[in-house]
Amino acid sequence: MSQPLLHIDDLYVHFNTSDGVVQAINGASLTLNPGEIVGLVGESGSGKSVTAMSILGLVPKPPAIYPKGRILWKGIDLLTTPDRELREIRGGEISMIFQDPMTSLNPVYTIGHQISEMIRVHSRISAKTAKLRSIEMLDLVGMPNPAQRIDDYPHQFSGGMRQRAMIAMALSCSPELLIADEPTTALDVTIQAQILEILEKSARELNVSVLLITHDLGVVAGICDRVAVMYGGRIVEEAPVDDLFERPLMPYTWGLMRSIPQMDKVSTKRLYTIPGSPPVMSRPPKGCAFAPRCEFVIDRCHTEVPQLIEYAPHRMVRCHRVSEPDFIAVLA
Amino acid sequence: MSEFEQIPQSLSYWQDVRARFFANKISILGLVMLVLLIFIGIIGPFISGWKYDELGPDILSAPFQKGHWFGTDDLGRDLFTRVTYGIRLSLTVAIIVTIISVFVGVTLGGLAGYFGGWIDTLISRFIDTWQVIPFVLIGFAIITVFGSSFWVIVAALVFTGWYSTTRLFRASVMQVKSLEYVEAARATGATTKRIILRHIGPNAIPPIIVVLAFSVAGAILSESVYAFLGVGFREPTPSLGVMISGSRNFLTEKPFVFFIPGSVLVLLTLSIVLIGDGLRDALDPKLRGVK
Amino acid sequence: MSEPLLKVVNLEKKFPIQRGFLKRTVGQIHAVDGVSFEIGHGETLGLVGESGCGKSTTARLILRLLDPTSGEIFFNGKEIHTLSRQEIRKERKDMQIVFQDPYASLNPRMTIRQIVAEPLIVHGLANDDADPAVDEMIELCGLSREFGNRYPHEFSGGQRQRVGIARALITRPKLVVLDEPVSALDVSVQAQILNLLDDLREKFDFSYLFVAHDLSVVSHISTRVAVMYLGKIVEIGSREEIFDNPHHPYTKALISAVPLANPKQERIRKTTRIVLTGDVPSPANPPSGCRFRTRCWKAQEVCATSEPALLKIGNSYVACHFPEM
Ligand SMILES: Nc1ncnc2c1ncn2[C@@H]1O[C@H](COP(=O)(O)OP(=O)(O)OP(=O)(O)O)[C@@H](O)[C@H]1O
Ligand SMILES: Nc1ncnc2c1ncn2[C@@H]1O[C@H](COP(=O)(O)OP(=O)(O)O)[C@@H](O)[C@H]1O
Ligand code: SF4
Ligand code: SF4
Ligand SMILES: [Mg+2]
Ligand SMILES: [Mg+2]
Repeated sequence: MSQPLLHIDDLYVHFNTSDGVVQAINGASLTLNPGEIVGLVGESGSGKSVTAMSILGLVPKPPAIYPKGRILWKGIDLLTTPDRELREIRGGEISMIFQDPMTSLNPVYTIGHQISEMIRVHSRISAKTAKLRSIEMLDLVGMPNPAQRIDDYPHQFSGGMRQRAMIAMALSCSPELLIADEPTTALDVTIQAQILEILEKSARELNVSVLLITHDLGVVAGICDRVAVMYGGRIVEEAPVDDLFERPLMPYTWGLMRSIPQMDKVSTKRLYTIPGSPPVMSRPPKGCAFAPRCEFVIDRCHTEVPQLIEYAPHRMVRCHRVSEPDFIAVLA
Repeated sequence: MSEFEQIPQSLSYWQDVRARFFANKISILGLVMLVLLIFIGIIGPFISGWKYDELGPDILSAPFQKGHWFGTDDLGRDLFTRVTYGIRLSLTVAIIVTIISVFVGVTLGGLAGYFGGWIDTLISRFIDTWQVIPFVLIGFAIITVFGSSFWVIVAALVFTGWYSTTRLFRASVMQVKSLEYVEAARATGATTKRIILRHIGPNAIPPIIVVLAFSVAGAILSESVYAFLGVGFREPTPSLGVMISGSRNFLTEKPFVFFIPGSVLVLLTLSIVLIGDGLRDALDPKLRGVK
Repeated sequence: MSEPLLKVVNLEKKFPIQRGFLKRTVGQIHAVDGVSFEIGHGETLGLVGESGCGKSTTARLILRLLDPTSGEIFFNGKEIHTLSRQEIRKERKDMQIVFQDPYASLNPRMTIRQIVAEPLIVHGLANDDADPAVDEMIELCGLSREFGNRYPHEFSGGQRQRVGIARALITRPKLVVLDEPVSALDVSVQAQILNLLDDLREKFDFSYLFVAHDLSVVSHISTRVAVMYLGKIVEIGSREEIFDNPHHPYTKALISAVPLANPKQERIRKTTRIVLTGDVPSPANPPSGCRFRTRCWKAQEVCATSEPALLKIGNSYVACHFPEM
């Protein structure tokens, strides 16, 4: 394939807090190609949002520090890009939607005004054209009566409608990458289904890459091409979606998939459980972040951080034991 | 289980509060200042060798002359003695006012917050109405009629102070009451008394402790302001407000007559505010475990 | 069948909407509107539905943490709805609740042991938190007894939820209401709690009312399932019947909306997924007739004029004029 759109290269993000240094990201690497929908899954605190915010330069510094790593956007390192240029990329080439649309919509302006503004910041067109385009965008995301609703204020919309408006706004400047941080976590399942459908449809239609952040394996299974799993501030596994679900290679991914109850496989059997709880990032484990909870742990895991290796074509795994000849059979 | 190993050693809530309060240098400074001022207030009159209303021959004499450490005022009275009495008086008034306000606040605010409904509506609307009454004007009237005795001043300060403590305690109780662990206690079958004593009280009172400190500081300041406006203590009562107010005629020639009681007033309120500030941080459960 | 442990008949709860200086009542939210169901001994009834449909309110009504506007609650041979505050307090020994938010539901000023001991002390079953039953229950719930003297803020979400469960189970209640007990937990910790609940049910023979919005979780733990929409139960039946053969259009849509952690199957499901249009209407102003009609693809005129009754279809009870067969 040609040059990747986005390449996160061995990123570290730490926060200086009164509780000590929170090592939120500890060497994360991820690549996104044009037109791809990539899922980033992980539990709360694993570093998904910090990764996303770092791409856009939205992490407050201080308390954040970037000890190491690069975020290459079409070859340019965003971490060293001046703020002024970053602002142009943000909302233009890369846009973002958040879990709670209310926090990113301004309550004192109409939806139409906000979308038009967004369009006009990034391209020189008349207010009238911008308005027409806003209506078009709202129509694309399935907003009923877009020509009228455009004059409504955010509080007049329901949660699902607000999230649609956010998607419309995010897509209005024809971005090349859309980062969606838990876009449906605050919504009910039936509304989630609507939003995911619209997100996928509009992204594919406009050929926008999507980085979809979620903690729900079901959500990534439905619409992603590729999935990266995050644990303790690192990507621990990355694979095409079918491969990952069929054959997880990292013990955490493997355990997680077996521990979630599945509606289609109703059984009263006990669920597999991963003991303990996710690491506290101000005191992360020395070696593999999963070592304190891993049932396959060996001595080496406690002292040495495993590298993210290409186990098979397109299959990245971070575990000391994958290279053992019969280990994969154990996970099957 | 390895995950437990990460957990720091457990401190009880109050142990933790104490540790965090004493780790805060600024609030310790406030505490030291206050203790010193109280100490001076207590022993001052015994060591100065003057009475507070004793008229001396040296009028407006500068500090450290003729046996007057802080100098004398326009009637030749020893300023040091008067200031030490002022500290006593200000603190006494402020503490009594605060105790009464807190008592009223905890009772009314607690009732309004815990029971809600019409009781709350009644109390809240009463406060709204009360607030718009111009008490400084009424104070003039009262003092004209009853004179400016100690208890009249206390009453005047309580009149203008009770409702903010009531408001605060109401909000605090309401907030705690709506928390899930209070509902959880109800669900276990706990009695109302137990819920109030074990669950709401201990969690609603800490914010009040902070208010208490600020309310003492507020009352000290109000006393001075009232004296200045002529609705507080009057000569020859040695209140800080009376002294500051009396100094205005020779502020330019003899500024120390103003600055000495003025600085004591500032130090006194500042020390209490610093303590209150340290308490607020120490009592905040969100900051628990934070060094 | 013998007498069920819990029987709820036509339960209703209206919350006033208050406005203005003197808090005039300007309307009503009909949070729970004529809900009836039974829970047998040792049974787990899952209660599912979207946010705001009245699940938590129903749970609180059963425990009389809220007073019903009307309706009857029979529990363990008693008429819960008629009991005075004093009498209901005593009944709480036999009916307990676990809350959703393990951070908010534990008093930060009490130690774990004090929290777990509270129900025993309140009901005069123990004098203080030194009772051996307390440590025993703490251990049963998967915590070490050495941590009894610690405070809630020192524990992770999953561990706190274990404390909440220990507190609910210490009096050996007959019914435990679980209001979204795993929703606030990390995915990898949910399974631990679900297994714990399973084990405890086996050991003590409780009945559970399990409130959740996550259908996968409900399908795992329940023996029967009730589906709520806007304050009403629209379908209730055995787990198998609800998931394999849903009759109510809403149940069908709800199940079809759940994304499965299986990409191949998801691709097939996506083509047949029933994506409901619009949002749940406000409970202050619900639609006439069938409340689901504004989003139902099968709605006809009669749906707007007459409210469907909960009738037996197959092994389930369904409230729909045109149920799926
Ligand atoms: N104390 C209250 N006062 C007024 N309205 C209330 C109150 N409690 C609940 N409601 C309303 O009653 C309806 C049902 O609420 P309930 O909490 O039972 O929903 P739920 O199904 O548990 O939702 P969720 O999944 O969000 O927990 C909602 O519209 C809610 O806003
Ligand atoms: N502004 C901040 N200050 C300190 N710590 C932070 C800040 N933002 C995030 N963190 C910490 O970084 C870690 C990763 O957070 P985040 O990326 O938000 O997780 P998630 O995967 O849930 O999105 C967490 O431990 C979080 O507490
Ligand atoms: S590196 Fe070791 S601890 Fe980490 S996942 Fe692999 S086997 Fe488990
Ligand atoms: S009664 Fe009518 S509107 Fe309601 S669910 Fe059935 S078909 Fe749909
Ligand atoms: Mg996040
Ligand atoms: Mg609820």
